[in-house]
Parts: sequence; structure tokens; C-alpha cells
Amino acid sequence: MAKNKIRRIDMLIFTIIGYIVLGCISILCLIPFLLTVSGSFTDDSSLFEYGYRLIPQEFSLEAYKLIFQAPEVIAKAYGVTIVLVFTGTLLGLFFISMTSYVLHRKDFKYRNKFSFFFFFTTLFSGGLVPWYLVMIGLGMKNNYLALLLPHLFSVFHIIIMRTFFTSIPESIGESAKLDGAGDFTIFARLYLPMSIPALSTIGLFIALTYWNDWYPAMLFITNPDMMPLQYHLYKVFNSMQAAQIVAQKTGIPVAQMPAETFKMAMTVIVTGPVILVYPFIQKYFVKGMTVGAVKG
Amino acid sequence: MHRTNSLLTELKKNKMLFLMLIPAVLYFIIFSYLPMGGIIVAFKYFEFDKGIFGSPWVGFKNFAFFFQSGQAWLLTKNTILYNLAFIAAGMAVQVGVAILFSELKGRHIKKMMQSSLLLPYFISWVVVGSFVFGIFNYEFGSLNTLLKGWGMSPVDVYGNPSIWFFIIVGFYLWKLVGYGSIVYLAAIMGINPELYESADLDGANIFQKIRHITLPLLKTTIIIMILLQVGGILRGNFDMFYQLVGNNSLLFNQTDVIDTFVFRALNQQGLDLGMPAAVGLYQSAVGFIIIVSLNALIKKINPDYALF
Amino acid sequence: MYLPSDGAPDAKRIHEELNKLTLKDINATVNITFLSNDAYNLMLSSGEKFDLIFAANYMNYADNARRGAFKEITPELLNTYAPLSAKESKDKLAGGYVNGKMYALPTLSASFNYSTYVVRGDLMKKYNVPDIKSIDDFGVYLDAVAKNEKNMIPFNIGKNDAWMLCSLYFGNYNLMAPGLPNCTSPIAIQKDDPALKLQYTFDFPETEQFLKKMKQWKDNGYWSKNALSNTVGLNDSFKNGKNAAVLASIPGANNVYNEVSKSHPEWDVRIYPAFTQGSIDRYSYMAGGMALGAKSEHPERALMLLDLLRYNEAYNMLTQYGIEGTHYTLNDKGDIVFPADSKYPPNAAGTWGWTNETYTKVFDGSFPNYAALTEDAKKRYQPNPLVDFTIDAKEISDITTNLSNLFAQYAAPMYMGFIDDVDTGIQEYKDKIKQAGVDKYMETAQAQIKAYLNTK
Repeated sequence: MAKNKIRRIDMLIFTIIGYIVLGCISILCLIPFLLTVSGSFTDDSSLFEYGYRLIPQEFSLEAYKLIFQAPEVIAKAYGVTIVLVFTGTLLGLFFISMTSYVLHRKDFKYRNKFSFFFFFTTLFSGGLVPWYLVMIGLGMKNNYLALLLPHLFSVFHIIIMRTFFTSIPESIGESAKLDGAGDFTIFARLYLPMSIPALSTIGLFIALTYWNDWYPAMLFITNPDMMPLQYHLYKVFNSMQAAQIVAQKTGIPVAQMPAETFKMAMTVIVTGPVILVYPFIQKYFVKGMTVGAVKG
Repeated sequence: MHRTNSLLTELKKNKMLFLMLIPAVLYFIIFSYLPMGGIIVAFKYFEFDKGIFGSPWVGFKNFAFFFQSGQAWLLTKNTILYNLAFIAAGMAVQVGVAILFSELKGRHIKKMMQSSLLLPYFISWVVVGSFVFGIFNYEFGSLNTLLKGWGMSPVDVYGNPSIWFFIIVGFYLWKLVGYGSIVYLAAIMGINPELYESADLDGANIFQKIRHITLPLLKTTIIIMILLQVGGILRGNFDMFYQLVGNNSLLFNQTDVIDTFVFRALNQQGLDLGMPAAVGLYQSAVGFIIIVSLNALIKKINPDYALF
Repeated sequence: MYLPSDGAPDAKRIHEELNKLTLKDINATVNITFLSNDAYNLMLSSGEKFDLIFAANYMNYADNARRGAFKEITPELLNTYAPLSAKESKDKLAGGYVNGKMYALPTLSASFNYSTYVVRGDLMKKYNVPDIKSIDDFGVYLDAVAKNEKNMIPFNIGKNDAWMLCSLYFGNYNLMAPGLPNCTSPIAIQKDDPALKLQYTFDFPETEQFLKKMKQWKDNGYWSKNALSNTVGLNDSFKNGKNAAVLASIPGANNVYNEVSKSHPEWDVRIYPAFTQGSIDRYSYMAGGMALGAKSEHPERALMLLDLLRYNEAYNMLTQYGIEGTHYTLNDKGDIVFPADSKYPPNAAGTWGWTNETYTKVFDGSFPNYAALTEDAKKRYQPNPLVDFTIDAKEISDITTNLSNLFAQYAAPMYMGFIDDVDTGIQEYKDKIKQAGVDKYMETAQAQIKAYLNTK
């Protein structure tokens, strides 16, 4: 009886403190984003006049109009990005977890040597130019692979995944081995289903990387039909800035463009879908998922 | 003779495991090790028509601008201190947030909070930079408008170098709190719930459970995450520093890191691959030495925690 | 052909039109690709094969040429395939030469180094500032605003604007910085010095006076206490009434005037010349130009095309302004008028490399004294023997990099008045640049200038 009471009190204190702390952090994170959303719907010049506000001082859709001035281009760009994110995430997850599985196996003698072989590439890099030459040599100009390959493997993800695998009891693999299962079968049939929280985490990271990246597109894609969303936005923003610089140099009047609010509209457009999808991924962050799968 | 034999036996024994490694090994050979030869440009005077390999050697000349600037030590120190603060504070906040999320009840509000925490990750530093100036600028910033409204005297944040360390670390934490805590949250989800159940039977309270079950079992993940970041300890987060501080040299003693310095020094110069490569090599080499020694140390204590 | 630009919506259409012309005239088609600055550098560094690429001093043309980024345009090539360019006056081609060899054809449009104050007439009237004829008059205007308009920052400069004050100083004191973009250099030449001797800028008593004035201006609140971190541009804050003055070139002033006179005609925007003393400089024609790729396989065709783009009115107008009637019209004065939402806005499609002032049109609706100021610039223009000179920094790159950092770190804040004590600030900066090897830099530069003048 007494024990129960104590536990309830400690849980109460913990809950109160927890909600206050998380609530404060959430507000700190939410407000700048709301300011961004509001800013994106504000008239560019009133933004300078009144500063950032939670409710737009002068409502305006200029920034979005600029982005959606060619809806079919945006639709195509979305298409490219969505296919890229899905393919990249699935392939990446498969390859990364397979690699991690091997590296986590304690009975694999060379696991540290290979880990080092991979990790070394995060410390030293030959720079952009030789990498570019390799990519070009492989025929990556205007090739979807140019968008896919750069993030297929990430050493950080491999090592994080390896850490997750080590928390799965070794006995599970060993007993399967006695039943005659091969290494790949153990990995695919046993380890993968047991690692849903870990896979969701790494999957989320890979997906975000693909979602956010425009750099390879800038280097390798010149065909407008193949451009991913982020690169398209980046280009619109860039050409707008360029137009303003040119206007200042030459004095030729250009329509005033909402540079400041455009950046914010870009943020909103890029963040929106992720925030809609994220709660579905959170579903997999549930305690006991791993071991539950083992029992079942 | 003995070595090859053991490799052969290992190959035979774990044929499948080797096969499973092939994609990754090939990938890193092609996209990382093959271009890595380009490092030598750090010792060359780059000429376009001759390419990296044909360009003439210049020895250590490309390193001179950095090490003769008289600021190499300050920059190295600043970069390391900032990164240490990022690693330590980032870890503490992210682990804390992950534990709170894992223990609290209330699904919907938790999901909403978790989503909010991820939002800063998407706001680029350029936009953050505009916000920061909007808040802190002396004449019309929201902070001073507030202070004046309360009848207090305005503060000159940009004229006060000592607080910038905290501002920068603060924004770093803010930006990555949601993203970074995901790994720890997933790790907590992997902990066997039976451990908690038996602790409950023993009458442990929530704080004891966190201290004696969650934290010890998170140790591997925490150490690995720290090690992963230590390799880049000499690399600055250029965008963040540049957008938050701008060219405000009054703050440089506190805020200048290697990457911002290199940008300032090379910005006006012609396109040269050599000098940036030289500084990059310095950053890599120091990171390499630190991580290899740290890894060796950890291996001695407990091989399970080592990176390689 | 590679152009550093993000292009324009109708660029494809223009390129098709262009190819119709080229197919007929030189039996060739042009494949035009737009690329970003990063990709531009990568394109050069990776040694790709291409025929034509944009080049300009602000994109380090000379340094890139010295490092072998471009193919030499030999006199034979030029005479045979670009005869019109070959006949062009020496003056206009000089910018294309690096170490006596030609690597690019510069544009054919001159632009003057001539700044103006853009201010508000309503405020001048309100606070009795009759006229702005000098820096000090400008100061009087700013002072009136600072004292009376509590919601404004008189001259709201931002984090990258130190060079503006620096150029105000150079422009008014007959100084020039040879071979460097704008004036971010600790070294200057007095324009009227026949020997063209390099001197330390910070040794002049005028520098000290100017910096003290800037400190005074800053202390008086003419710009923000946090200007060094200010992210908002002068123009933007001027348009929104937060800022009372802009310093801009004649075209830049025109751009502001155009916009503000529509949105706030009651502000009565006025433009006054800012370089009121001394002679006026022009920029090198190599402010833009076209170069041959180092591995170009068709240099003859490329040069033939360039000659057409530069001198043939149809080619030039098509690429610069688009299709008449669709992308622009000419009014009865001969001024050019653009539709508001042009799909080929002028200067957006990376065609800066072959502008030709013969075909450049004045656009409709310039500020009242536009012609007068342009005339003033031309009248006071003094040819500068070093206008096309660039320093070869190969042997002293460690010094130049450190000098450029020291300028950003020490001199730039001083120009913006951010220093407690100007005299100690100057001394500290002088000590730092001395340690960084400024003497050797000056020697090298002086020797190169001498050699340059000898070959000229």
C-alpha cells in the first residue's frame, strides 16, 4: 500500500516536471516556426516595417504565387522528390542495415578493421572536384542515379544501426543458426523485424537527407523535368536574388520580388509534408517493440 | 603464411558475411577512396589545364596563410571549445528529452510536442539569422522594445562578446533537439520492458529506474554518438556562425572558428583548390589523431564501446 | 556555351531563335547551359570540354586565366574568325589580356565608378537641408534625420557595406586601389600622381580624418549600433521608410527611384552626386566578357559566334532583350519599355558577356537628372592607365589572403566607425598588416605595375 503511494507521488512529480520542461522546449521550437509561417503570408515590405509577427500585418500571397507560378513544374518536382525519397530510403535502409549487421557480429573477426575502413572516409575527403570527376566518369550527367547515389550509404547511419543491433541478444541468432539458418536469412528474417524502432529512426534520417538535398541536382541535373523540389525552390530563389542584383547594377526596373518572405514560404513548403508524415513514423517509437517481436 | 591462412578460413567460415559487405565496400572505394587522391592538391599550385595530378608541387606553401595568420591557435581553440560544448550539451539535452518522451503518458500531446521539436531542423540558418537580428538589434529589436516597454534600459547584445558563446550554443541545441533525440528515443525503445517490470516489483521509483536501467543501457549509444562527433571536432558549422554573427569582428575573439576565417581570407581571392584543401587536411588530421587515441583508450576500458 | 545564371522562363525560346540565325550564318548550333557559381568553378576545375564560357573580373578572370582555365585567343585566331572584334579599339580589348596574351573578349559597354546619394526631398525640406554638395552636407542631412525622426535610422548600412564608405572616401579623395575589386585594400594610388606610386592608405592624414568622421557619424546614430550584424539591405529599408539614404551607382539609384517614386511619390526622392571632388574612373571592360574553354574543340566557330553576338544588331538585341513586341517595345523617344511580368527580363539570362553600348537602350522613366549625372561622369572621366591591371598573386598568396582577412577584421569596422579610438585602431591595423607582410605585397605590386606599364 505504502509502496504504491510513493510510486504515484514520484510519477506525479516526474509528470509535472516533464510536461513543463517539454512544454517550454516545444513552445521555443514552435514559435519561430509560426513566425516563419506568418512571415511567408506577409507582404514583403511590411515585414521590414513591422518585423516578425505571429499574425501577418499585411496579408499577402506573393511568395507562394512566385513558387507556384508554374504549377506543372512544381508537380513534376514533387514527383521526382517523392520517388527519390522512397527509393532512396528503402534501398539505403536495406544496404545500411545489412552492412551494420555484419559489423555487429562479434564472431566476425575483421569487423573492427572494416568499421575503421568505413569511418576513415568521414575524416578525410579528397574534396569536391575528384568526386565530381568520378561521378561524371560514371555517366551521372542528367541521370537520376546522380540524385540517388550520394546518400545511399552513410557511415554515421551504419554505425548507429550497428549499435542498435548489439542490443539484440546474441542467443537469438545463435539458436537460429543451430536450426540451419544462413547469415542472410537470420539478418532478413530475424533481425530486421526486431529492429523496427531503429529502422524507423534511420529511415527517417535517410528520408530527410534525400528530402532536403539539392546539391547533387545543382551539379548534375540540367534537364528541368528531372529536378527535385528543393533544387527547384533554390533556383527560383537564386534567380530572384540575381534579378535584384542586376537591377541594382543596371537600373532596369524589375517587379519587386518578395525575397525575404520567399525564404519563409520555402521553409513552409518543405516542412509541411514532413510534419504531416512524422506522426505516422512516431507510431513505431513504442516501448518494447523489439522484444515483443522476439516473443511473437 | 599463417595470416593468409586465417583470412582464408575466415572467408570460408563467413562467406555470406563477406558477401553482405561487398556493396558497402565497393561504394566507399568508388565514391570515397578513389577521389581521396585529390588530397594531394593541398601540396600543389592548382592549374586548370593540368588538373590536380599534373599541377606543380609547392610543398607546404598552401598551409602558410593559415598558420602565419597569427590566429591559427585562437581559431583552433575556439573551434574545439564550441564543438565540445555542442557535443556535451547536445547529448545532455537530447538524452533528457528522449527519456521524458519515453516515460510520459498522453499520446496525442506527446506526438504534438515531438513534432514541434523537429521543426527547427527545417528552418535554415539564413532565416534564423534574420530572426536573431530582429530580436537582438539595439534600436528596434523585439527584446529592447520589450525592455523599454517595461521601463528598463535597452541592452546592446551585439556589443557584448561574452554572451555570444551561450547564444550560439543555445541556438545549436534548439536546432537539433528534436532530430538528435530520435536516436536516443529509439535506443530506449529497444530496452527490454521486463527489466522495468521487475524493478517495479522491487518498488523502485521512476527516478531510480532511469538511473539504474535507462541510463546504463543508453551508455553504448551515448558513447558511440560522442565518438562519431569527435572526428569532426575541428570542423566549424560555417552557416550557423556566419548567419548568426555576420561580419561582426567585435565578436570574433569569441565567435571566430576555422571555417569562418577561411571564408573571409579566401573570399576575395581567385579560385584555388590548394589553400582550402590545406586547411581541410589540417582539420582532418587533428580529428583523426584525436579520434584514434580516444578510441584506443575506450577500447582498453571496454571493447564493446569502441568505434572500431 | 556556359552562362552563370539561373536563366529566364523564355530563354529556351530565345535560344531556338538564335540557333535559326546561327545555322543560317555560320552553319552551327549553340547549346546554351545555365549554371550556378559553384558549378561554374567546378566546371573549370574539372577540366570539362566546352567552347565558350562567361568570364569577368569579379569572377577572378585574370587569376583563372593565369591558371590555365581558358584557351588563348591568338592574334591569328582573332583576325581570321572574329575580324570585327580584332578591329575594335585597343582600349576596349585591353581588359582581355593577361600577361600579354588574350584569353577573353570583354564587353563593349563602359560603366563609370560614380556614386550618388539617394535621399528624401520631403525630409530635406522639413529640416531645412537646402542642398547636398559634399560629404559634410550629406552628414548634415543624416544629422537632421537622426535628431528628429526617432523611428528611422538615417543611413541603415548592413554587415557587408563597409566597402561603401570606403569607396565614398576613395572617390572623394582621388584615390584608387589598382587591380583589386572595389577598394578593400590597405594600399592606394593617388590618381593625379604621374609616377603611380603605391602608398599605405592608412598613412594619409585624410584617412585618419575620414575614419574619425565615420566614428562621429556612428556615435551620432546615423547607423545602427549593430550595423556589423545587420542583415537588411539599404535599399529594402529605404523603400520601407526605415532608412533615409542610399549610396548607389547611377543605375542603382535609378532602380530605387523607379520603385519609390511609384509607391511613395510624397517622399520626393532626390539624387545627388556623391563623388564631388576629383576625377571619375571607369571600370575595366572586363567587368564581363566571354572566354574560350581550355579544351575547346571549335574555337573558330566560337569566335565567329562571338563576333555576331557582339556586333550584329539582330543577334545582340535578341539575346539581350528578347523578341520585339513580346519581351520589349520601343517608344517614340527610342527608349525601351518592358512588360511588367516579362518572361525574358533584361539581364536575367546571363548575357552580360557581350553587351554593346551601341545597342543598349535607355529605358523609360529614369530620374530627372539621370542624363545630367551621366554627362557629369563622362566629362570628369580621366583615363586610368591601370584600369585593366590585375595583381598576379601567385608568389604572395599567403600574404594576400591574410591581408584580405585583416581588412575584413580590422579596417572594415573602422570604416563603419566601430572603434573606440581611431588612432590606436589605425596603429593596430598597421602593425597587423606589417606582420602579415604588406611591404612585400607592395613591392611585388609596384614591380608588376612597372612591368605592366612597360608592355603597354
